[in-house]
Amino acid sequence: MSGVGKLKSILRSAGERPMEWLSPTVTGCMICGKTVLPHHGSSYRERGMASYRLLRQCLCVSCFASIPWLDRIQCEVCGRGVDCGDCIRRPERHFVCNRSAVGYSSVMREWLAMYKYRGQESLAPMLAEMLVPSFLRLTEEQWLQRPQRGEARTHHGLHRLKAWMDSFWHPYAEAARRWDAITYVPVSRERAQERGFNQAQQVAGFLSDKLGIPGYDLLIRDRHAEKMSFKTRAERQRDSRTLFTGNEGQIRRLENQSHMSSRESLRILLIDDIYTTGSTAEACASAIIQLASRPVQLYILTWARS
Amino acid sequence: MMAWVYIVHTGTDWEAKMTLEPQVDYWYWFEGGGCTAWAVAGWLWSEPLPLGWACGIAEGWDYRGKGGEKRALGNEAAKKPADSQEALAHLVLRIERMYSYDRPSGDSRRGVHRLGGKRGLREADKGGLRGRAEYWPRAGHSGPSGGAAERGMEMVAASARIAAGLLQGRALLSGEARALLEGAIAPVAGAGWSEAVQLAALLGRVRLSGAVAAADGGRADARRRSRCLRCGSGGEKLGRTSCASCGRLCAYCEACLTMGRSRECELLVLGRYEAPERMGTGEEELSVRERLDKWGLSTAQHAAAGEALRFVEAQPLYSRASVLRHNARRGAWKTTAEQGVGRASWLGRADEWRRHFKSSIWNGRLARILARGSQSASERTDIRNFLLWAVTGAGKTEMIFPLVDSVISRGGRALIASPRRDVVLELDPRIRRAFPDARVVTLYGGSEQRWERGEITLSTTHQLFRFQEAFDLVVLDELDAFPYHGDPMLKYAADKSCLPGAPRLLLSATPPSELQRAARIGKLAHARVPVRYHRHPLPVPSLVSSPAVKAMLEEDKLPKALVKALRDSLNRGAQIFVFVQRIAQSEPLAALLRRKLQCAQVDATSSQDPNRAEKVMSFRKGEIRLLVTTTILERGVTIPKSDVYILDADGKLFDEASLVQMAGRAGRSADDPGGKVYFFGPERNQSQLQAVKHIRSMNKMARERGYLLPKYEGRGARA
Repeated sequence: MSGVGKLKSILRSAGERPMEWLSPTVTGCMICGKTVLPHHGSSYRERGMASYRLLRQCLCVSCFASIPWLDRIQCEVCGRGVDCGDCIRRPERHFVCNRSAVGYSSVMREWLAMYKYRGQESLAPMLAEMLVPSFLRLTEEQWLQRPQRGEARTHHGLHRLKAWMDSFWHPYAEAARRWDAITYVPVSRERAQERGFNQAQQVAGFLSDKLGIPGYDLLIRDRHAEKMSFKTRAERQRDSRTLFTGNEGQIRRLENQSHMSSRESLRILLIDDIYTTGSTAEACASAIIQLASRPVQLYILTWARS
Repeated sequence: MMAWVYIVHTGTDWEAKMTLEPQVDYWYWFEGGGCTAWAVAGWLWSEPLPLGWACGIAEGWDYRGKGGEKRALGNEAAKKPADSQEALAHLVLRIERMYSYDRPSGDSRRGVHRLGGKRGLREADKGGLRGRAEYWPRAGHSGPSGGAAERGMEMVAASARIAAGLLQGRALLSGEARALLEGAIAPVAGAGWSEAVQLAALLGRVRLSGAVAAADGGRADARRRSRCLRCGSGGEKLGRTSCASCGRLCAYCEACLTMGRSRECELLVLGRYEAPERMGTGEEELSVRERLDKWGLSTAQHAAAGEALRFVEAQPLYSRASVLRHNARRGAWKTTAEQGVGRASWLGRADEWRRHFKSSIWNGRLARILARGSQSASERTDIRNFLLWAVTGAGKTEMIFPLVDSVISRGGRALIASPRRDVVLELDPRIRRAFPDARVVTLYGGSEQRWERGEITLSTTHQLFRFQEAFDLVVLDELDAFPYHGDPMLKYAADKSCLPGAPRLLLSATPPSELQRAARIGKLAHARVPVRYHRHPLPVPSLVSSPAVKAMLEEDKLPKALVKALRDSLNRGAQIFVFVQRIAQSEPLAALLRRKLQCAQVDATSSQDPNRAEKVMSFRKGEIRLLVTTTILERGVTIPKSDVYILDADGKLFDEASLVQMAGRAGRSADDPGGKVYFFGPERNQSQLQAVKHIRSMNKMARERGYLLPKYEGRGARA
């Protein structure tokens, strides 16, 4: 093709897709593939410190609207949106509490299946992003007092400027400082072979990178259990009790790394995809606590609460 | 998934091979499993490697030092390995290269992963790699009749034969192959599926490769070059993640995830089609005309089907014999005397298969198909395409019956594929009725017959990912319909399902413009059927100016012309299709129509309606008289007595093809051939005029050829 012909063909193809040329940020929705238009303000309220900006960029309006956020919590222990009997029935537990990002609706079930069973790993960052608001709320309600309007004034002007700059560059630094480690629920070797990845590990990895909290592999899965979804409640609790052991090397490493912190107990965040009865969480918590030489406060952060 | 790599000296040259089960290969090469295939010596690299790497090393093995690898490998490799140590060193270098490719991008400082390091060659000389590579034949090797191993291997041999038969023409991921084989093999022979597949691969009956691999075989060194070999996607459709099954960064294909995950370390099993001995065509040489007569076709159908039938029968069916002859002519393949006297055992033919496989054009062609990848749809020149351009309601299905009959009576296999599942399901009973003696397999997502084989296969185009050169006749229905049209992935799948030189019939009432052009200039064989089976002309749309649907809804008012026409249609007892552009408009418009027409039997449906099937059903039964819908019902739905109203006909979602298709819903039956078609809209645009022109030209052609009923023959008849 001659030079002029080539130029012409380039110009012609440019004319066909002016949108793509002018606004490179217009991409498809990660779930349904529809065009995501840039949002100019939105009817969705920002919740607490959390911002949904990134999520809105990768989801179309209707997919974003279909997320059943769990932002009103009834049960302080398991993070359910309705009153729950489970937590009363459980006599003792080794973790402090669970918080989940969303309710496990049929749409959410579909999203998780796309990622977990079909293996669309490109969804992992988006699912991890969905956990951020819950993470912030959890941190907030446990340890952070929201600064009162009057209070902030007392600071020196320059100090305030620095704080403002910090919040700009490291928006999660304040929350992340409260934590010592992020870890995840492991899967068995067979499952990893078959699926090719561990969903909880991937999500934990993204969160660790984003928030700047060190990630550890604190747990080892001992045996291959049947898929949990085929079991009754009692079976689940019995089976998962002996499923995990702590990873001693990693626990020691964590203890050494964090011995500098002034807190007397280790604060660990455990990531999983779904919280159903809490037996997995319980088994993991007790496995870690058994091996730890310092007191441990274990919090569970799950993507969905069924 | 992990695999092993080894090299063997077959008497003339060193060859590198990939294996899933080294034990089977050992038996094949050193314990007489291959009968005629004997190896002198070999080295097995005893660490498993990611499957993609093992395949890459085996396929890119350049022991003669030729090809592009030569420069990159440097002088050491260019020398021809004279003895086993040197060949092993060469293998070690190849494995090292795989490790060095795998370096995370941006980390250019780290050197190559050292197995023997630069010292590889010297170490190998000193036998320093002995621990990691195993020399074959093993010490204490007992020779050809290897005792206990032999007995176990007999079962593997038996199951390999079954596996090769079952896998013919299929392209399956490891999980699918396992599902197919485990049920069939286990009760018979008791050998593992991977052993069976491995032996079948050694015999050249199947080909094993990574599901995502470099287009020209082997592992890609840059992401850009690799493709999903199942759907042909490459580039940004591939995601690279760290993989727990091979422990490395490994690419997976996002485009065909719905059909199971294809990735670099995932096995893709391609089964070679062994055509059965073809029946002689001499015995019942009926003429084309005589054979067509039994299907009861109309004159126009008869003419087109005859043309298609002659086209299909212009070449004999694909057979191994013809390929062998073809190769022999080219001097690429010679029969040996040994094979003539041959052992009766199937194993005796192993060498023939293997050699044939190595030199076969199948092999080369496969590489070419893969190299071309997704944009190759029109480039596969060995497929003989035939366009059957038949108006809506022409009776396309009946026209393909004689073609299918011709192929299956000669012992071939026919495929009828459609992009839409409802079309496949509708076709199923009709095909079974027409071919009561043939085995019909219907494939769609969740089909019960997933692993069955038959003479006639009905399938959605998505299911074609699981086939590779499997059919003697491919009929592609509704080729301009979503999702087939404009999806390179499905085109690739439809291409690779054809056997070499197979005829492919493209059916459409509104072929895409590039096909129309190719047909016009004589590049594409085609036949046109310009008339419906009942020999009445197609209803020509009337163009009526009216406000847009949006305005109607806002003002809560319907134009008088529309109301009058709808009343007339209702009064004459017709079912009414009302097409709109947007899903969101369908419900409100239905409510408005219900009020203004004072008719309760008005409903709306769209692609997002979970009750679509039921609503279409009750529309068919007449419980719903007027159905507001979108292009989702533009094809495939046949209602005997119906009128069609297209609102906002100037909208950009309705192009010429879609307007013609929607207009084609009217006047389908012989009882009511004169259905009404209206285009309502504020403007008349190019698409509408072209659609009208299209319909008129078909009617004109029908009249000229004398296909219409005598009453339309006069000049003054409706055009």
